[in-house]
Amino acid sequence: MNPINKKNFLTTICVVYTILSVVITIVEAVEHKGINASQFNYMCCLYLCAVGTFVLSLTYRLERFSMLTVMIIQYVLALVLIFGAMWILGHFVEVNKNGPMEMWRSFTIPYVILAAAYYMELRRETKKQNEMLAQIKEKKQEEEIK
Amino acid sequence: MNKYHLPDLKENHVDVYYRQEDAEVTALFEFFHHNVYLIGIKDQIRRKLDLKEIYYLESVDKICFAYMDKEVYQVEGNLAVLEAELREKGFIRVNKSTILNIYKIDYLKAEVNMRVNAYLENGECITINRSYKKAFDKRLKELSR
Repeated sequence: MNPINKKNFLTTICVVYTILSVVITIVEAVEHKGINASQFNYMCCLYLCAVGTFVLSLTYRLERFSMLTVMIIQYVLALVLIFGAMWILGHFVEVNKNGPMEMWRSFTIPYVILAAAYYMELRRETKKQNEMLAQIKEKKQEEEIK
Repeated sequence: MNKYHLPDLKENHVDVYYRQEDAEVTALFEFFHHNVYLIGIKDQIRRKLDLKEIYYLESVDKICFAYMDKEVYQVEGNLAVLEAELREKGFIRVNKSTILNIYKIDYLKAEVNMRVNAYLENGECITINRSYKKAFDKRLKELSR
């Protein structure tokens, strides 16, 4: 077992808090033989985090594709997992008719914003690299003249 | 001539002490500055390839090829070894099978599909894989200092 140090201090708090919260939620649900809206939302968030983490962890397997293709694949996969879960849940509880649409919107909007931000950052980085390249070539020419 | 074998040295280097820079000393400097080349094979003929003329090295079916402006030569050695040997000469790995000569890059461009392509002086285009992006950027920063 790794010791707790400065590097993993906050991560450890987050992990311990998550595990405790999930366990307490499940225990309370079992005790009261039912789940309230707050507990339901909490477990939904946990599921969405798990889906997001799983989907993002596939990035290394998709290295041969361009980043745009990877983002589209991950987006579609995440939607399948989320809507699949909603469909299964629909067999046990009543899902609001606007539920899927709202879920799609609340997932898609931040996803598109993050993708756009990634692209802007890439362009900025590339511009900076071009400037460095020009400096390097100039420096090389000066060395050759000497 | 004095020789010193020091196993603890980080890299080999040569220091030349001279009273006057005559033809002999100049030839010595030329030898060390410009004597960097690979042996290329084409149509069973072996030729010295000046590193300054090589645009990139690519490995195809475990065979390495050096791409010049208009010619392609097979070179001996594997990509990992060439990468280590040619690093100080401005060559850097940009994807699994390519080592690029930084000095032959005309410009870099971030494409719409979020790939970064290096456009070379001879018009060719090499994709920089995102796994190698960080190392590529680090190397550019080192060389530009």
